[in-house]
Amino acid sequence: MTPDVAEGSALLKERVTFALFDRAARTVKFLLPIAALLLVWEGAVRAGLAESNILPAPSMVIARAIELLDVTNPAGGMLLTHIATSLYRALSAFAFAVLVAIPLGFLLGLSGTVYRWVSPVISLLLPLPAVAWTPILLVAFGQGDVTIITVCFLGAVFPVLYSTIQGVRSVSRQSVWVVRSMGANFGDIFVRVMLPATLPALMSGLKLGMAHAWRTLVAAEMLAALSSGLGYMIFAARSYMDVPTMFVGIVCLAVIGMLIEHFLFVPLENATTRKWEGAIHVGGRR
Amino acid sequence: MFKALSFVKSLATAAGLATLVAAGIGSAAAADSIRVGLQAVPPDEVYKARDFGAPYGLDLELSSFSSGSDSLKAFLAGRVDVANGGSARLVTMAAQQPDTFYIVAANQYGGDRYGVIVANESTATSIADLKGKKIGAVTGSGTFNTFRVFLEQNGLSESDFEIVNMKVEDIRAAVQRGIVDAGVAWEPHVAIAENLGAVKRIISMEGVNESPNFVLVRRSFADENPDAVAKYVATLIDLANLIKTKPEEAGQIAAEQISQSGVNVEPAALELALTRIKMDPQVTDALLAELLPVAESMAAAGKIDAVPDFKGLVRDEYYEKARELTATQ
Repeated sequence: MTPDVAEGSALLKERVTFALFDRAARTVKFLLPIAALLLVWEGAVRAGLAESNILPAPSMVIARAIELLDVTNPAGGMLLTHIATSLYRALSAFAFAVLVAIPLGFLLGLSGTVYRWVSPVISLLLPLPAVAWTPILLVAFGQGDVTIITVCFLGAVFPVLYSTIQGVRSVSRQSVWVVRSMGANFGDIFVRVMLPATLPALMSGLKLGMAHAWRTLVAAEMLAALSSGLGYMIFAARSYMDVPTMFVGIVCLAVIGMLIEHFLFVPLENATTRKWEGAIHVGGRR
Repeated sequence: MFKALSFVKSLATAAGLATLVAAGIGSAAAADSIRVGLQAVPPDEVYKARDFGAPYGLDLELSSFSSGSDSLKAFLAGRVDVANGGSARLVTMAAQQPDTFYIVAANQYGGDRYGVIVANESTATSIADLKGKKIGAVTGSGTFNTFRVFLEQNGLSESDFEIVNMKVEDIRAAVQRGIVDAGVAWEPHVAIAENLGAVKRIISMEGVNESPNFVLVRRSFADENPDAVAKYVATLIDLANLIKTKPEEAGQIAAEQISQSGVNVEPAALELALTRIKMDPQVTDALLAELLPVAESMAAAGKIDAVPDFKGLVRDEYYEKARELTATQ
């Protein structure tokens, strides 16, 4: 090994170590306030400042979560079933919302006439909480996945649609003219101008849409689920005053919501907007 | 010879046909099925846990609903053949759509399933001790109507208390935390709250009234499937017997069934709740008579046009047939 290669290898090792250390430090920094909150909470319950059958200590909630995950006990694995069902419903609703809202958003953003006709309807529906549709959908479809997914779809579709419209309408006409003057066709303009320019707004819409779908899910499952889902579990636990199980459900909702953001949208942003922004900063890319 | 052969052939064909017909009848009898709407209450949890239809060759298609209202909506929409309804909803249906259903059984009744709870440290032991105090209750519920009758019987009225309307699931915590001085709730909420050691029951509404629920069957279904309905009522008799004779086992079964959805509840609490709920499915005149004052007050308030003929909706023959069926088991 030449001294240059050895030096390069040591430098790489140092960089990797630094990156790992930095990541660990950031994780600790992120978890520290949460750990502090849990400690205060645990202490308050143990000191008798809060009654455990109203506010169970975190240790009780964790113990209950372990019971629900333990496949050797009768209710074992049930938590995973509830989580899987809720994820299926929320992600299905989100996928439908994306499939409907993005093309429609582009259409409305590009065509002033269609926008003038449709925007009053959107303005009317936008402020309506999706959960308000549940009683009507229950009459139409009864309890079950169709009603829940439809309610979540209604929760997700408007943020995505609205953000797409805003993103498309914010693209400057000059950029389009410049690319067109260079001989670009509609496909080129769409892929190389419209889509990248719309992405930041679209990304915000997708995040909001997913968050709305996830939040709406709980209420929809409380009202319309037949036998599974985190919302159903919380509702059933409430009916039988099983407070630790209610907290397990709530914690799962929070953690899964955070993981979706982290594992679905952060990679998506890294692969699109951040990468393209980087490319623009470096000197552009065709 | 040819004639004899032909005769044998005819006999064989007839025998074959007879076998096929018999098999067809047999399979039709075995294929009795019924769609039942249930709720998240202990007796229904016991019902879900065991295949009560099996001894009678009855396929039970069970659907769970979060409330009686949802169950009745599904019933009216034709998604279930059987549901059970409390007084006010039943009166409304009897007044508006009497031709759509029969009353075939009683289900979950008795004043003991309603109680008044107070915090463990409370010194109150009677309703008189709570005069002028805050009482948490689900106003408009059957429980609250029974509570009002109870107050009248004790020379009191609603105005003697500060009634705080709340969800039944929240009453225990409200009592425990002193937000209200007492709570009026129904089973299993009272028994579970007692079992948690958070509150104590000081009053039972036993003897005030029975506040019955009734089992409703869609007429079109009952007319086409009388055997299925009789078999279903037989399963209710078996359920009632199990709960009455083996409440401990029934509590355990219910707790295990509830745990299937990931919820933890003490079997002892459910056993206590089940001992406070009457389950005999026979529709008696006394139970039906309790619908009259409800209907009269609703008619007086203009909610219905006239007091319905409840007796005309009752079909006793299914219960009688069900008794015969259970006797043969």
